[in-house]
Amino acid sequence: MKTNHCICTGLTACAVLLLPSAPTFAADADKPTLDRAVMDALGGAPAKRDYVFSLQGGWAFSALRVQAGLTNRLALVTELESVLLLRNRPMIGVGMRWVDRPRLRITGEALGGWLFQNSEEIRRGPNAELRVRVAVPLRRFVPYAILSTRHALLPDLTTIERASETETSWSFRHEWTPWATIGLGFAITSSIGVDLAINYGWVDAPNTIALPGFHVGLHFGGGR
Amino acid sequence: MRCMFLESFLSKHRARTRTATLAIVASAALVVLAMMPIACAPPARGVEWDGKRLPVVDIHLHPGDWDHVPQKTRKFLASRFPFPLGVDAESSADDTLSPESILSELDNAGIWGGGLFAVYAPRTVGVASNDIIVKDLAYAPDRYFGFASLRVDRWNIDRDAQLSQLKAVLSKPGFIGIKIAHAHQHFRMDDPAYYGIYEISASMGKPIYLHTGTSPFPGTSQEPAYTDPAYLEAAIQMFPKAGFILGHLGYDFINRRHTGLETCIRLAKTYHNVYLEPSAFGSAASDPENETLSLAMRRMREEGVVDRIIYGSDGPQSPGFVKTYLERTVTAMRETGYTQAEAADALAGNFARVFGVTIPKDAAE
Repeated sequence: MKTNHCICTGLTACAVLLLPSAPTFAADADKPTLDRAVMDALGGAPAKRDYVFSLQGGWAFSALRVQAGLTNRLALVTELESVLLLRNRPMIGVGMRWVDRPRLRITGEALGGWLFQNSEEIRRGPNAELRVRVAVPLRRFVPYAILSTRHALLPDLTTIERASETETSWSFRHEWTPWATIGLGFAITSSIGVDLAINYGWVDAPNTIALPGFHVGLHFGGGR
Repeated sequence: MRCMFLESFLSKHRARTRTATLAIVASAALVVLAMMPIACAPPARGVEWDGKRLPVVDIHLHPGDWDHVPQKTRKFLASRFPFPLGVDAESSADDTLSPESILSELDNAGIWGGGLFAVYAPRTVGVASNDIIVKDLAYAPDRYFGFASLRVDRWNIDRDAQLSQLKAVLSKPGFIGIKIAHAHQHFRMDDPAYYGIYEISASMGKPIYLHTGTSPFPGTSQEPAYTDPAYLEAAIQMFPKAGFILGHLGYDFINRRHTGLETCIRLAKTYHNVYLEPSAFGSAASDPENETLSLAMRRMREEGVVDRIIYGSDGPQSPGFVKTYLERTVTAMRETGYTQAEAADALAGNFARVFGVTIPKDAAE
């Protein structure tokens, strides 16, 4: 495997810290093919013993994401997503390749986690997401799209203090976020890639208006 | 052979020279372009109507300061901002409510002038003090017009002090009117204890903008005595020299329907000192099909009170709102058959007449 140790040493260090058991990008028998790292990052579900680490920064959503192949079709997915560092969402789940052809990969992902929003309106609660990724590798480029539906359950505790007694009650509110991303990835090397995409996450649809955003991403991958 | 070699060499050399020259010229052009100030010119001022540009004044704009908004209202406002602006509502609001930002919104909409409202409603929408307006007016003294306000929540104690202070503020340059909101400030429209405000309006020739109709803000007094413009009739009669601008046309923002429109029109037809302002209820969020705004514009024209309409948006709210609201209002006027002269009156002419403001030629070009 041709490696590039010089690119973004800090990020590589992060990747190594997060994946201590992963070897460096040294050549081995299971080395990723040319576009594998970026393909795995954007198309989802790396194969068994492969992993990919993604760092996506932009407005308003940024994310840190690690995927590790459990079988040839199933992968573990963990991610931490943040909106302006005020709305954070750690998630864990699985991704499964539904279609895996040389020119097309379709992956389904299911994730669960918790939403923490610390703003004027505090929103906290369990959160789940179902996601479909479609990636079409074209030489070093990987055009891709993501469609997903996110659901958060936001509990509210109401306490009424009366002279006679204190009454507490729970109520729950549902926050739905349909999501779409369309973007283009590029494989710099077999283990390093970048992407640029526009996102539209309609948070708390249909009660609100949401602005579209964008991100740029850096992806590292390797085989274990 | 030598000759052929030489020709080949010269030909290659010429080609290289041409390429190099092209590269140098292209680079120089790029450098020149990069050094030029790159900015999008604001759109032409005014609204195009039958081949003429009509100037626009937006009477209803809210500058302010997030720190002076009550916590419940902050939460409410944050929920109304487009995502993700509401997540960091404080910085979004501070950016939006500054005089620079408001002027930029006006420029973006092609609007020449704007009315800046002071607000003293500490338990509902918050406080934008007269001092803030004084400061903001200085940012664009030719294009901003101030509306002073006063506290009424300690009326039994400081009534005279508040009225004196109101008079003093109204005497400052740039202040052309008074802003009050019975529903947000919790005093009845027909309570004679507060008629001193109308006396000042009449004596100083500074019309009063009044919020009419219900309001979605937490803590608002929604009962008819605070929201129904019919309760203003006694004061309108008693102070014929005071101008009464009925904000929002008595719209019911809770149930999203025109409950006060016909009353406002009746008052305008009956009394010469009543004016009508169709702000806020025609926003894309409240009125997706533009039907509510069209209905109001149509009814006012049918009843012959176009000469009382004073345009306002209730901006800035969020980036682009001021522009969008103007576009929606213009669409409503076109759909309901306004003539060029009627549109000119509603968009700026009536404002200029009522407040004695001269609108310059460059307000619409």
